[in-house]
Amino acid sequence: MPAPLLDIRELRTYFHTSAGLIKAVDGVSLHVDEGEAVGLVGESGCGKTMTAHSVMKLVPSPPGVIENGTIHFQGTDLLRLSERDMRAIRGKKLSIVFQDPMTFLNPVMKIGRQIGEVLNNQSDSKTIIQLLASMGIPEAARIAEQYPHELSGGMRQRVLIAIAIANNPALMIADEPTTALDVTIQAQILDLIKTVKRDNGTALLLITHDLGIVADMCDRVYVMYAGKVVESGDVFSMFEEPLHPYTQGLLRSALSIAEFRESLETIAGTVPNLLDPPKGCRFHPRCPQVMPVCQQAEPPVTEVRLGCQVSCWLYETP
Amino acid sequence: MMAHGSPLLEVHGLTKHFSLREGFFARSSRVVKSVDGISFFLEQGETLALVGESGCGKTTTAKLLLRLIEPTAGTIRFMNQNLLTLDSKSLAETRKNIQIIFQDSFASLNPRKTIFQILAQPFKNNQVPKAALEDRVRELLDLVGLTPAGIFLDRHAHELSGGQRQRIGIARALAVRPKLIVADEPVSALDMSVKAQILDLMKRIQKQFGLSYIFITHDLAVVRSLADRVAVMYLGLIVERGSVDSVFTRPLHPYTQALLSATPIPNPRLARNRQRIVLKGDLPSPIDPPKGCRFHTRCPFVMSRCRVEEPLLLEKDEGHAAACFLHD
Repeated sequence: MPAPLLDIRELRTYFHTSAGLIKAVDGVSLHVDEGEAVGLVGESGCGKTMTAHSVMKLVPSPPGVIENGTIHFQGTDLLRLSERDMRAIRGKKLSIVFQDPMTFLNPVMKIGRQIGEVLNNQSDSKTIIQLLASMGIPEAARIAEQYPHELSGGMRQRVLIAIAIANNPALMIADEPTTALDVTIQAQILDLIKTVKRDNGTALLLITHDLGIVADMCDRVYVMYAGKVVESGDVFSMFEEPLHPYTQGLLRSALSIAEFRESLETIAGTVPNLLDPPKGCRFHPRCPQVMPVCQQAEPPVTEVRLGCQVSCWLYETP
Repeated sequence: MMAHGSPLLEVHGLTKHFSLREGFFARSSRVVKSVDGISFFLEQGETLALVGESGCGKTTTAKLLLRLIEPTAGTIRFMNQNLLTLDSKSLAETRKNIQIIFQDSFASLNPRKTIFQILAQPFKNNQVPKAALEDRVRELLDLVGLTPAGIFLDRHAHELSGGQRQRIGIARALAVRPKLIVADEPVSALDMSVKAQILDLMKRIQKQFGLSYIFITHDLAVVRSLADRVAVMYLGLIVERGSVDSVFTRPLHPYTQALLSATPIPNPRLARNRQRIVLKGDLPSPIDPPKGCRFHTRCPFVMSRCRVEEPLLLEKDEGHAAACFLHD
């Protein structure tokens, strides 16, 4: 088997805050193969965004520090690269699309020039306009002459995707790319991401809290809870035979336009405070199947089926 | 549900236009037709969902129902009274029966007050004796699942999680035992697992107290499991209205069809085998909505008639109405 395109092992990204140490990413391992679409799901504060930012080496430091782990991308450990070498990769072979385009786009620079910058100013306006048009932007020549604030949210997100794929990356990380958009615009953007992926063979690491988007877009899924990956597997196994009680709870409480639910089954309690996470399995205070061992020791990773891994004592035979 | 008589709430031709002044001495001003003549009713114990995307007028409708803003035209009948012509004394009396829950529970709870002070206020307003206040507040906290109640009494809003704050918002709305709760995107800011908890709570208290809800949301998945009937809004108008069952299984308006097909389904087999309608273009601005049918600029089935004539909301099936020439 060829080495994965992106291979994260035992990543620990910690934040040293005045309130104490926050282990935002605490021993995360995941991989993305060439051309694959991988989902990273979880609720706020589970560490999914910080995992992505660690890959891009965009973790604000201080207070953030990558304490441990390796992030191999196309065989190179990104954590060992200098900022200068990282710049040769970031936005070229490895790119990211954020949730809020306004924090990424330069408000005082015309759209066309911002795209030209990514292309190292080597391209003429025709190439830029073609790129914008291929993103489904109408009147691309006019849009290239506009500033970010003149565009709608959906158009800004198209510009961001244009910037992300300008250099034909091997991997695009999309961090909640449609969360701020209306549902009909979200459908347009997800379609665009699918097209880009298909036409360019770009691999995708999609970070989202929306299980519906994962079901639609991804080949494999990682579920995170309180800084850890609790389950991973192919998308069909995950949705049809979820292993971890947290994944099971999420799926049972996920509402769908396709079915009416008389009573909503829910996961009791709330996500833990990462300043003082529960001992043992971090999900144990909310787990309907909690056992004494769960309160004492962290569960190891078990491969239950081929390619399906879970961190849960229920799957450990003593 | 009431068998006879008039519904709990009946809204007719409700309209709100905002004028945009461009400059201090501007002679002409442009008009945002935020809500442009909508009609609906709500029976006791029922949930009506108002759904739509940004700028469709759903939040303005909520504010109009509470009379937080005054309508440009139309009538609102609630418990057989015309809300818009009541004098201030009777309005205050009637308004106790309508409460609102907001999306942003942080902004709607006073940061300086304790949970006890926040929840005791509606009782004080209604002359509940001081000695009874704590019991009543504890009762409310129990009701919304904040237990043990004692640990919440002295806390402030910022010490609570988003889900807990939304429970306080619900508790406050329940204090005066209203008949109608207008909920404006009450779960949109919440995480998946917490969202289900709050919806579950809303369903439970609805049964317990026979509450009616106007539930405003952009999330159709929530509508399916929570509402009895649904009204789909687009640029200030209701384009389709009917029972949730019939609108979700047989959507008539192309916009409703597009909304449903754009909503992700958390099931990989269904998600991959569905017909998708992806609308072209952005939402037009409500400042200058398209002539004719407001949806014609994005409609995959547009006909020449749609560009000039405005379709009326007409009943096509029993209780199921749509504003579209395709069904004429």
